[in-house]
Amino acid sequence: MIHNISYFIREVYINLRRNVLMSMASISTVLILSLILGFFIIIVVNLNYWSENIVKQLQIVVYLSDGMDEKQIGVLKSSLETTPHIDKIRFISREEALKNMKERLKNQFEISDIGKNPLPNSFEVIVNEPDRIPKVAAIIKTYPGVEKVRYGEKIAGKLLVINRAVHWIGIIIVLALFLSTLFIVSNTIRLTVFARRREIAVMQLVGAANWFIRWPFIMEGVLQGFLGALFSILLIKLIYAYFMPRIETALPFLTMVPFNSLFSTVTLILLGTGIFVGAVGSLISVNRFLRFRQIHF
Amino acid sequence: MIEMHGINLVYPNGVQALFDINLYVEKGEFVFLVGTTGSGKSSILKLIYREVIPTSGDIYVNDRDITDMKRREVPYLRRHLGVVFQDFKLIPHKTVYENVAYALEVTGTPRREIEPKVSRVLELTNLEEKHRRFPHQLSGGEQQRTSLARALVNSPTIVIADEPTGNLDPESSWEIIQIFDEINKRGTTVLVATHNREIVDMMRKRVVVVSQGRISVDQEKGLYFPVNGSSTASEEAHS
Repeated sequence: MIHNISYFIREVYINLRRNVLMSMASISTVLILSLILGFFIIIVVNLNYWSENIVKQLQIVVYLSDGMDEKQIGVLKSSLETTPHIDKIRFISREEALKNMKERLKNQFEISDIGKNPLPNSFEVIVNEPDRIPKVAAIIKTYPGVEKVRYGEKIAGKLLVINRAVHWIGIIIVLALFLSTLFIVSNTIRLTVFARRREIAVMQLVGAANWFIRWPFIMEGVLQGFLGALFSILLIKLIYAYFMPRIETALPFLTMVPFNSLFSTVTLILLGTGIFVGAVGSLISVNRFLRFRQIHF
Repeated sequence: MIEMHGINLVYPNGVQALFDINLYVEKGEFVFLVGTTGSGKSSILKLIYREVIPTSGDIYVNDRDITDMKRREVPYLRRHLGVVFQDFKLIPHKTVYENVAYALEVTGTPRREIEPKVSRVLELTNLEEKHRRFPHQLSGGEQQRTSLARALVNSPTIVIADEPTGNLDPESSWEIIQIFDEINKRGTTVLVATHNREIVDMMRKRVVVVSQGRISVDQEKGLYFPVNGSSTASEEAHS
């Protein structure tokens, strides 16, 4: 067995060296496809992140009438607390509201010179299921001391639909990309196997067992898949590091997922895909030649 | 050693290549298969190393019925056979030594056993001095000797050759035949399909004439055109 393994390793090394161009073809195919797959995953993750963020921000803002005293606010608060489907309530005083606004817009324009605070007291109400927002909002509107209830009526419903669509379309496209990667890579590897059909035929002729013929090809495929995926990860990292700050400057309202939190997932998926695709691609190709048992040259 | 009972062979394209072939080859025999191109000589050889499976009939090789053999058993059958072709089938980027050693490597022979076996067979085929050359640096005869060395390195009990001298000049052809004769004297069964009349007539071995998928003549110490054979077989071989 040890002898066999050393033979396989030697074979893989010799074949990679002797078929440099073919190996490069396989590696770059994996590289390109894994770049596409990688960026797609990043895009999907970002889209999901944005749409979830937006959905998370879906809340009911209850603006209070001016001039309510603390006791009246307390009464309103307890009626909100007993309303069904309400998850969280947070009181935001007019002072806090102003401070938040300044914070949020500090890079855009100067508002410190607004004299009087124009903002009212409010409650932020988070509903446990975003679908129930409209009903809950209608109930709150009837409470005394409520001046106005806002929850982005029309947008909220659409956002929820879009959020779900983004999620599923993302998964479907990533799967489709994965399958086409497998298909294209196995075809590329087929060329490298085809280039060596004489050797396969000779091996069969002198009585090499089929598994013995397969192993070097599979190891070669795994190595090529691994290298292709590795290079693509490095490229993705460089490209993301270059473009992320630029996108965030250009579109200040979009927060992108930082690469570090994506890195391990993307690395795992791409390396896994590369290795899997290399191994399975080789297996499919070699089997095709082994099945044609006629020894043709 | 080799037994064929009532073999019929129909290829997937519908062409029937062999009709009711019955052939018995004893251990240590030397047999020439002669006949025109397309007569079925190669098909008979392919049946033995199980490149094709007969449509009906039984084949025994080394007392083993190979017609119902499982696919994964085929490699082990072939390790007892040495096969040589007209076009040598050498791996171009391997040297003479590597081409021969390859047959042992791929069957999992430990490396320390490979060296002596390869050296011995390169000596037999008179290639010791060329063992570092690549196939394209060799003459046709030397390439065929390399391919023969590869066939012999596993010490097969049967050697099968399909037109081994088809691409060679007379002198190189004789060298190859001498090696076949030598290993046959050492006890190996040899089957050679050939068009080479001179060689067949000179060797006076058993001659089996195949004509239109049938064995028409089977003679001990025979000639390419059998003296007492059926006239049809003779005419076939002429054409």
